[in-house]
Amino acid sequence: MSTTRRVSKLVDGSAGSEGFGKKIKEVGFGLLSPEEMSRVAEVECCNRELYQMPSRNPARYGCLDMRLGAANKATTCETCRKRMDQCAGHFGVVQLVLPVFHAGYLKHVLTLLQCLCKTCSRALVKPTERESLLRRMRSPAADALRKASLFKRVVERCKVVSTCPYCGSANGPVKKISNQGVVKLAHDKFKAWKGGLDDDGECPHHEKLRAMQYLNPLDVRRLFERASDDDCELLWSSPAQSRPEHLVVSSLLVPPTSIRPSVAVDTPGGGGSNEDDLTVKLQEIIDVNAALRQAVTKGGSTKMVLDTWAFLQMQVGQFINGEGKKPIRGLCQRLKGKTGRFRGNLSGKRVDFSGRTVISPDPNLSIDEVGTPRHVASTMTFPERVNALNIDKVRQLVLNGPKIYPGANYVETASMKRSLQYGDRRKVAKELKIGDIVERHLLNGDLVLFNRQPSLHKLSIMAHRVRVKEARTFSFNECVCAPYNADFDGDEMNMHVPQTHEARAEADELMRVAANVCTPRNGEPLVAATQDFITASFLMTTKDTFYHREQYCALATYFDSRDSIKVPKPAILKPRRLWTGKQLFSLLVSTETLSFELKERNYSSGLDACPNDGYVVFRRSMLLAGNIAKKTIGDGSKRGLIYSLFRDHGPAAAARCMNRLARMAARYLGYHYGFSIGISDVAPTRAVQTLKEGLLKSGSEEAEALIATFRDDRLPLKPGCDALQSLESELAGLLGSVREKAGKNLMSHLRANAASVMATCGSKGSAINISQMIACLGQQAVDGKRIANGFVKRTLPHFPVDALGPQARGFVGNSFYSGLTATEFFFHTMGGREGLVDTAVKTAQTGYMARRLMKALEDLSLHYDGTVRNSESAIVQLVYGDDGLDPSCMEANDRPVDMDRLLYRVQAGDYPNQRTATATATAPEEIRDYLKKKEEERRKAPLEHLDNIPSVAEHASTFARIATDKVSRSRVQPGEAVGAIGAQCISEPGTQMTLKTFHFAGVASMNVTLGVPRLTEIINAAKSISTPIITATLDNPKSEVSARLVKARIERTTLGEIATLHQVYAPDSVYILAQIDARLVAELHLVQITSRSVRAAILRSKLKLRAEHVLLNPDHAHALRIVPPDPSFFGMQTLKAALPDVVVDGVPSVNRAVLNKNDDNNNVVYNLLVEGYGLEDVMAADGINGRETTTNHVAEVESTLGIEAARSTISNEISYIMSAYGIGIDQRHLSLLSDVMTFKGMVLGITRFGISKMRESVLMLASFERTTDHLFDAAVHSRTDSIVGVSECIIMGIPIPLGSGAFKLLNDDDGKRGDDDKKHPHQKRNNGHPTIPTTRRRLIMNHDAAADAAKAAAAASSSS
Amino acid sequence: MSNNIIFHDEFMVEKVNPDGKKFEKVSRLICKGILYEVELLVDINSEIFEIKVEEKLGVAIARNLSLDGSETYEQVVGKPSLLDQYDYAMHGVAYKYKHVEGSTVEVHVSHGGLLARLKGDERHLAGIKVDDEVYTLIRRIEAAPGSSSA
Repeated sequence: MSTTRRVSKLVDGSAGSEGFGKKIKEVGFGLLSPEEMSRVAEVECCNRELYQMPSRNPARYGCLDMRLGAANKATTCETCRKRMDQCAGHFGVVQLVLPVFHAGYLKHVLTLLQCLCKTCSRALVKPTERESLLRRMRSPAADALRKASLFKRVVERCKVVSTCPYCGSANGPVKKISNQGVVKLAHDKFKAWKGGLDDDGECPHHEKLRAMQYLNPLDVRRLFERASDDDCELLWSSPAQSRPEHLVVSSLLVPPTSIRPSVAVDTPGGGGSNEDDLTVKLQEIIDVNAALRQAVTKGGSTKMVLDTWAFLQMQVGQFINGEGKKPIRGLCQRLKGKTGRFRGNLSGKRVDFSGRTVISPDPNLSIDEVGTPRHVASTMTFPERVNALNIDKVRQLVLNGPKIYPGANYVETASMKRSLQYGDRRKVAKELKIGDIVERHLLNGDLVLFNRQPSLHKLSIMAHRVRVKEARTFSFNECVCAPYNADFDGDEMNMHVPQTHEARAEADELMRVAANVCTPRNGEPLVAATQDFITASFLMTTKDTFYHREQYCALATYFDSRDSIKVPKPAILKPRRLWTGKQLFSLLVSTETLSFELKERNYSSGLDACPNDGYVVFRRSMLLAGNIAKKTIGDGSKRGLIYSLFRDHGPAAAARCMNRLARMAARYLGYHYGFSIGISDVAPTRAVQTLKEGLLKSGSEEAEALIATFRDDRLPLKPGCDALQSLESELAGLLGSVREKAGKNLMSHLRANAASVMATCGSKGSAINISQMIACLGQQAVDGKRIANGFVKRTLPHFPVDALGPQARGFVGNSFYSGLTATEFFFHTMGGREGLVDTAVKTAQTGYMARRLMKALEDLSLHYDGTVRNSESAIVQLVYGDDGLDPSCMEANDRPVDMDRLLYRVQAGDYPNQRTATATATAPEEIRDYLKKKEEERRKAPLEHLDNIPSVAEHASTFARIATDKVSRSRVQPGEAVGAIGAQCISEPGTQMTLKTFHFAGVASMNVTLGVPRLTEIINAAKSISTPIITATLDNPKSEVSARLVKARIERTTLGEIATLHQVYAPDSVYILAQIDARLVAELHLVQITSRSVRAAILRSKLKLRAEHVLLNPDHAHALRIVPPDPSFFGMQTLKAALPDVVVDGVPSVNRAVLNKNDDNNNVVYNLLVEGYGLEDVMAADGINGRETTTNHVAEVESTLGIEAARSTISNEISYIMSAYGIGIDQRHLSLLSDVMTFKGMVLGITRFGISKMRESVLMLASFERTTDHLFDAAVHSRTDSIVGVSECIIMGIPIPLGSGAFKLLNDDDGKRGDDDKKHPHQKRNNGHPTIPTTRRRLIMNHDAAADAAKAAAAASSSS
Repeated sequence: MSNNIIFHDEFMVEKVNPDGKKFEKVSRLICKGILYEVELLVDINSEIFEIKVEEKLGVAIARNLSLDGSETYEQVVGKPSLLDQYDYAMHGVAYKYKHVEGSTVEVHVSHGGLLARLKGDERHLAGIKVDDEVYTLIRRIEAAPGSSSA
């Protein structure tokens, strides 16, 4: 059987020429037999010398033999006669005298030994079970996951067998005994032997200890050789690919020299060389092997043979896995880890045509340009093919050569590639032919990829157009800082030049800045005006900005409008003609019509008439009211100007607007206004000073008063808090408000102050920052609390013992302007350090989380049938996000159309009003309902001249048409890598989450873990979480009394809490008397506790008392006697120590419950927040509305309510975390993640365990974690990897079947069918299914035909 | 009075900058119409036209500036026009017409960001249509009692 496989030489000399056009279908893993190794090898290595001494040439038959590959640049390979750069190297082999265990397979060998009879080599499965197990193992439907569980079962079955059902001999467990690096396997043959006496009439039991039988590699190999092919299959290994005897190595393959290069060392007294760890180890193996051969053939002592053998075993083990006392870089170490082969070289590759330098801002560049230094532009090139149209231009580039800027570096003709650095460029230029390829310098307008690390989301790499500049840095428009998270304090960025037109086209369509203005996280614009652009716009549009005609015209020219500017009529005609800043700003969008209204950051009240001028009205491209600030032109706002332009007029219009804005802002602030900040901006005025002092004084007085009440024990307790906690919570609120109040009042005092302008318009800084500079720094916190004691009973020795006052606990009353005192400074550094540590820790944690999420979700994509599937074609979602809409296109709150905004625009007349009869009728119901509602609202006004109020009905069909169009445009495109995008959208905000805990639902005493730790918990599907909280709704939520009763019932009550225990040593008996405190029980509303219930609880407990041990006293209703089963003194003491902890009432797994009062609009509703586990018990408790009760613990929801409930809990919990930090994530991303975690029918964490259950691909799993384990496992079970996922394709260098790689050409020119079905097995399976017509899957490259096909597909899909 | 004036009344200035002086060069006036009881809120450039509380103003909203209502803005420059009859004139656009309650409506006019809001019975304000270009003309009729400069 085993000879059916033909192993050819892995690196075969002919591969270069004949291998052209070969395609890797799959990668198989298996074990090589010694014969196969010999066949593969070019040379048997048996010479321990590395070099022949006088000549220093590699020794023949040594492990650096020249036949293993070219050793240096000077020599050629003796096998293939190629030079070093051509020859990949060849294998050698070492024939071991005696077999040894393989370090990677040892564990599996152990398992197999437990499954096979150590006498007859048959699997120890009972004959009755054997058939069915074997059938199931052979079933073609069994995938790796199922086989793994089946194998596990077989192993379990075999382990319990002590007598071989076939030969009847004894079998026991096999153990690994390792002693100082020497590994031995021992078979405890008679451990469970239940048979009779053996042949000699002795009972083997007596010999138990000595009956341990060592199994040396030779034994094991023989044992495995005798195993039948059927048994091999039963034990999940293939007789053809991975016979178990090959797990024990008797020949060792020597890797080519090219992977273990020697480094020549020049030492004065004669040369030497530095050898790779592998070479050294191989040399040792050859040496030891020779010694062993000597000992065996020349008759060495047994001890000597055994010792040498053990030493050989150790050396081979180290060769494979270099861990140990003296670690070396063995084979495993080369594969493992971040810089190992898998992650360092196969999944991530070094690239050419890339550059990196410092970045600088340039508002004069368009948002999709990148200023490129000439040096970069003439080093990085694009291979341009010469054609009839460009030949003259290209010829000139060739003439210019590499040194003169628009030039070229290389010319590639059909025969050769030559550098233009040397030689006659004129000759080359003259001979230039159509079809040659010229590697020309980058020119203005070339598309390049621009990137800043860390690349947390897809917007970290975008395509820009090159603009060559005389500078040494990359530069770009500041509007693009946000997606890259870049600033200019020394940041560096990378540039990559796509080398084909195909790559360019894709980059242009998918990656260009204009196409990525909005983040896929929730559709908010990320590329938008920042900092100075906002400040300038704000200053320009304040109400009291007036310009003369000259000023107006001068500023108007800054907008970069190519059309002639029409100067509008002045806003003020008399007494003087004046134009306003708003009229100037309106020119920004003069080429597009748009209308919207929004409340800016400084909006206070009164809509349009807001006294701060904070209500922005844009109508028909005119700014009519309101000052422009961050919400209008900044990022993260879906109601603003940039977003309106982007959605309604296209990315180009938004880009144009930002370009104009940037140019205008830079010039306005630079030449006209002047904007600077200095010490005078943060110097408090007398008024501010008095205000601050007043606030501080009242604050500290209040605090002292609170502390006094606390010391007198008069402080009212907060729910679930002790006195100190209540005090801290009160003080936190009080002291926190001091700084806040100072900030708020300050802002109204500051006028024409640079800092306050920036804070008001949102360009930089906040009221808190200003108040810290001018007024006071406020309370410093560590771990969310005031500064804790770091000295004896106080924070610092400067304060009195047990000081609780504001100053003593880290309240800083000074400002940065006034300067901090020594203690204040110290407290401030404490808070600052926590922040720094937190950031450092968080980056590492979120990085790992991002990696795991990406590995779990990377291969999910939207298929043509609308389902989301992984690369194995398993369906994860039937419809993406339940509606198939793209999160990056959502205008309003996860919905595709912001109907209020659209109606406003339609009514303002932004669109030509076209009435179509069918538009309204065919529109989705949501749209129709909205229109109906709005028209009804309008009709309510009892006016004669109703026509003055804009009509809804009149515009209904236009509205419906546009809205319907928007919905259909926001469908996700087939092929979209929804998984990868989702993973990025969830992990990218991780770095923004700073604080760790929050108060839960406003209950001061209840903290919930949030932030990265909580996110990790959910994603890991952790079994125990740090703050499990069950939120329980009450049957009677209005009554506090009944709520308290329910609470008392749920909370755990122990015997020690309600009863006093007395030891009674009477003459006739000893017992413990438990006296239940009836008054206390009544006070606690524990009406259900009686001596009977307590007795039952004690009997139920782990104390193992029987009914006769717990006695009720008929005379005393509240007394119990507990008689110790062991009446000794110690028995009494143990009992007395254990009794107080007996849970007599409530849910044992609950720590405590807090009654939560929700008071909205005098409608008081109570609910219970229960800390701890036990959802099932709480739901079932009396007075609890089980239908409305849930927990934040995913695993518990799964076990109690099922997988669907767990799924929604996952997305709800993540959503809750994100909302606590003000991070909006589209529901679709969360539901995809929760579907991935649940689609296998159980909650799988995004961890190494979970992911290995989600996917089968060996390469993908190996590139994730536990690289070598997965590889050894794959070899043992002779698994194959079909290279369908993202990781595998990257590793093998194959285009990824996602996005633009999702489809294939089915019809080529001569009508031959491509082999698409292999890649999409599900489509094959679905062939003939009406919903996937074949026409829809057939892409034809001809444009007209493509249009026809699209029509046909539309017709087909609508008819089905 | 020519037919291009679509609203006209005399107003009493009740408040100047009711929320405090928020802008250096702009004041907000709250006025009450004497004849039609229309409430007027209007922003004016206080640097070039200062108004005090309890002054009496004549306010007109006009479609254009020529005396006979036929000419456009460009054509009246340098000729006798409505401008001659008023002390302060702004040009703007009516952008919002809102129902408040009963028969009361609100009309919003923006003069390049200087807002005017007329609130009153729809009969008096119906002439102003949304998206109309309008001129807001103000003249001093009577100085505030007690102020020395008339």
